[in-house]
Amino acid sequence: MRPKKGIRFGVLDVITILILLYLLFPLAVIILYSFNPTSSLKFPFEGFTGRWYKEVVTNKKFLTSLQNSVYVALAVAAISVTIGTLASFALTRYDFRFKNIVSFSVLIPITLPAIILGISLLSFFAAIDFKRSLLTVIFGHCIFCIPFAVLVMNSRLSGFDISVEEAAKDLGATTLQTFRYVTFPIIRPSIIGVMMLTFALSFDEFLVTFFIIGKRNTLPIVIWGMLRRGVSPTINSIATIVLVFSMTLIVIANKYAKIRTLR
Amino acid sequence: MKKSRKHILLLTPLFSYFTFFFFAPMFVLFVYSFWLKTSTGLVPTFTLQNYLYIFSKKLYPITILRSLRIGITTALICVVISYPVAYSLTFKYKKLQDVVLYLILVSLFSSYLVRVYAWRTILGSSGLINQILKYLGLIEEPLRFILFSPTAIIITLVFILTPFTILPIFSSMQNISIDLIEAARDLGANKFKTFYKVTLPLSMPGVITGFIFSLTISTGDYVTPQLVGGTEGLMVGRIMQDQFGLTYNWPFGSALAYFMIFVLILLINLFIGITTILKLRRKF
Repeated sequence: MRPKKGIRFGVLDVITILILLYLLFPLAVIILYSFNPTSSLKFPFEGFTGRWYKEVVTNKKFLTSLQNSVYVALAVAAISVTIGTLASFALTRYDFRFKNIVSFSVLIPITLPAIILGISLLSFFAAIDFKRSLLTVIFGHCIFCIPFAVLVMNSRLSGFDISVEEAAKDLGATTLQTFRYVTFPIIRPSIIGVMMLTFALSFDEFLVTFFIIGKRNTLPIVIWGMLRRGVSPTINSIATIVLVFSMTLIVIANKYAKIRTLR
Repeated sequence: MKKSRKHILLLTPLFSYFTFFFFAPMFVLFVYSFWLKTSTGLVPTFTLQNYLYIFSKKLYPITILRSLRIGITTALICVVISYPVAYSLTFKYKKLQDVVLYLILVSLFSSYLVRVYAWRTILGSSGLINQILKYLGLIEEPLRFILFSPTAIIITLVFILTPFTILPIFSSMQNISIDLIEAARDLGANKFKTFYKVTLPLSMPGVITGFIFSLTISTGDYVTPQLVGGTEGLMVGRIMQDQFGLTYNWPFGSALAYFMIFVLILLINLFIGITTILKLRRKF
């Protein structure tokens, strides 16, 4: 399409706006209902209350599972960013045989249905007689977080100007110094971005976790339990809290590393 | 590009991790699919019985077909509605791009369970739609057919997966130079021809990625059919889960998983094949 001068409001705009509304409206419903005073859903709303939030933050089960989720997500972010960044260096800087196969295989876990990842890990841990716990959850989460880490790092590293590193070396810097003072500062934003992204992915994951969780629950598992029992207004406030939390992470992640280059 | 052996060192952690926590588990699952479940436990053997069992009861093929129908419909709708959004983001809303992308990311990264639950709140018999209709006096009794149907599953899955398809399509459109489009127009191609011959083929990699993502995730989904599907919306994910949680027929569950992977790979290749036949894909 030829770039037009001025703003013309056309069919395309209407479609775009409708789709965006469709994507955001349900979230708005959740947030609104989290302040709804009655425990059953009523339209129109009859007032405004913070009661459900109070109930949530004093709920022991919620707090424990939140803690577990944060613990898992932190570990997952650390492992994924390390493995993902190293691999991305290899994929963007070196030529080697089977490179295509490697870059393709890295993505397989995120193109498989999560349930299959879940049952394969369950079978595996059962086969090697490994007790299920938060540790197995961490191992499982990394499998779909590493591909995302590689993707985001690749998009950063493929645009990396190697000559600045060479310049540092010419000026007498050692390999370690070059990395510390040249390479790392340049890729740091992406590293922070990847950590936020993988943290968010892990924090929210349900299906894989469902199969490999031990006795200690993560937050999504607790939410699932509540959902199965029926509609409770506290779900809405938990949802809103989680929403605000993940949003903060994503805003920060996107500020550092453009997640939108995700492919 | 350097040529050295350093890459091996850099890839070792990835390789070991994937071998141990991805390839090994997938292999174990594959092995299980040839084992047999008897009343005393799992028997290591080599049999195709589990695969044949898929076709022994009507329930399984019907459920698999339903899952595929829901998956394909979802993926096609996702791609079709993502395209105009990605297009206007790239070529029209240059200034608003960041804001709109944030809105899409909000949707993408808000809890998956919560987003499914949101639709239950909206579509349910005491849900928002029914409440509003009742309030407006349009209905006396709540409409029940909206929730607990394959349609409810598709509405929810499209909602969940559209951000997932918008991003890759948007990303592939970033590489389309406006000069190329203008050149086509200057050479006399009309709007439609320019779109069909230039824009669409160049953004096809994103479309294919988006299609693959939404197809596999929706076909194998477990949560959505459970929360909004009802009895009419039984999908294959539930059957797989039952084998591992309820009946402990792991071999059958494994066979089902591999059968689904096989069918999904076929479907993806079919989709890529169709885009090639329609000359929508360009080889460079």
